[in-house]
Amino acid sequence: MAVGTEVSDAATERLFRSHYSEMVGLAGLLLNDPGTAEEVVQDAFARFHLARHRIVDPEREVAYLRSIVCNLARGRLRRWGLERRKQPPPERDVDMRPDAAEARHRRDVVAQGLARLPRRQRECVVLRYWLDLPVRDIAATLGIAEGSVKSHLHRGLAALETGLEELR
Amino acid sequence: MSSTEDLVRNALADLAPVAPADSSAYAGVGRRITRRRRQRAATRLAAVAAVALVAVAGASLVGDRDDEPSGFQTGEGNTITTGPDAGQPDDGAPPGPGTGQDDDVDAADDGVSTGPTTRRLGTATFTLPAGWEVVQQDEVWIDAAEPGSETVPHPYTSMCLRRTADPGPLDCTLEMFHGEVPGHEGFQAYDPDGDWSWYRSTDAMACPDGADKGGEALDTVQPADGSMAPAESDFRAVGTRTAAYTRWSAVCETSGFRFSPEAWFLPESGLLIIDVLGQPETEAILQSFEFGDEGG
Repeated sequence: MAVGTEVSDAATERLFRSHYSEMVGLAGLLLNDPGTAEEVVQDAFARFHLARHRIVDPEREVAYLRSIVCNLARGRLRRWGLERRKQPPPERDVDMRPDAAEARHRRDVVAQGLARLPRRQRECVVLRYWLDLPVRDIAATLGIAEGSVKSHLHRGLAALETGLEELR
Repeated sequence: MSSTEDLVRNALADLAPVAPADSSAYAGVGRRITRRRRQRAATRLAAVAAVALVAVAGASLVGDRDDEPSGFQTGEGNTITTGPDAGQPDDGAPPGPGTGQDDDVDAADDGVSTGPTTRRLGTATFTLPAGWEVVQQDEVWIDAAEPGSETVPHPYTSMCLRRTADPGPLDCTLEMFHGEVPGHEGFQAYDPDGDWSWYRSTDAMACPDGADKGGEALDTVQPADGSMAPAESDFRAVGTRTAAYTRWSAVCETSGFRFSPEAWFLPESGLLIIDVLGQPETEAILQSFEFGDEGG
């Protein structure tokens, strides 16, 4: 990978290689907008790079980056307002096989349910079931108590379950 | 039958956008770093230019107190007052109590007040307590618009006040803003009912507990009790006017140090006062505010 003249820090590049795709997935699920997700994540890496000197513990770099992504996604959602977030997800290449149709329908139900969740519940659900983060790490990422994470997860999952029940 | 957790997990895996960590994306990071560096440099340059202009204006006003207050007009009645960094000559001792402060608005000083002095922000004036100083005053422009949309600049003036002998762990003991004042992370307009509207950093904030962390990891500030929403919203007096008062709760992740940032917002006057740690002089400063001809 060609290293740009502005990004000369090896640690930033290493983190970019290992976590860029993951962060785009996280931002995309929080924003429901793949295009903006890349913008947000690139911005997050830029902010991370410029603030790296403040992070003493390298083990916390990913958590710090994840927090920046969540914060930036939150800011975007506020500026967009709720309506844009509730738009249906962009259509992808469609597989017309019956089992694929069922999976697609299930995906749409989850996407719509996710978009309707309150912000904190959505963040907790995505961090838990997309990144497989333990409750402790979710709490650290969002800056909230572990008990709050459990509560948000329980409520968020219950709300999604309501939509999924009809599929069973 | 799959559990709900499995269904959600599979659906999210399918929904999550996929983007390779390629050179194109990396170049995007580089462009953003360049842009942010330029923005920072421009802000610093604007501050230096403002200070230099104030110094020139101040020098031209020596010995002429009946003239305009030392400062310059930036349009819309937005007067930048003199700060101690302006290098303004000392044209007399700062006024003491009962010396007719209105005659001494923005009088030149050496930064640290030995007695109360009157300072101006916008068309309002307030009394700076003895032992306090204005260490920095910037004119700031923030482009809060989304890429591709109409540019919406948000001009505002920020004023950093410090208690000289015991400023506390923050750069500014007290902060004031005038104009289209910024809200959370500086991106949008200030919202007194918004989540953590007092917080304008876009990065993690170090714990303001005053402890020397040395080489320890950053002890970041987090919302207390998991909520960024206001802990208290009310109306409070600022001088003769009524401000939207908001208090939030914050806690340091590692040390557990808790504090309650407070803000007083006057939307018509375009004034915002933020006290992050709760200073004993704040109430007196708020009550000393006097306003010019604008509505409030």
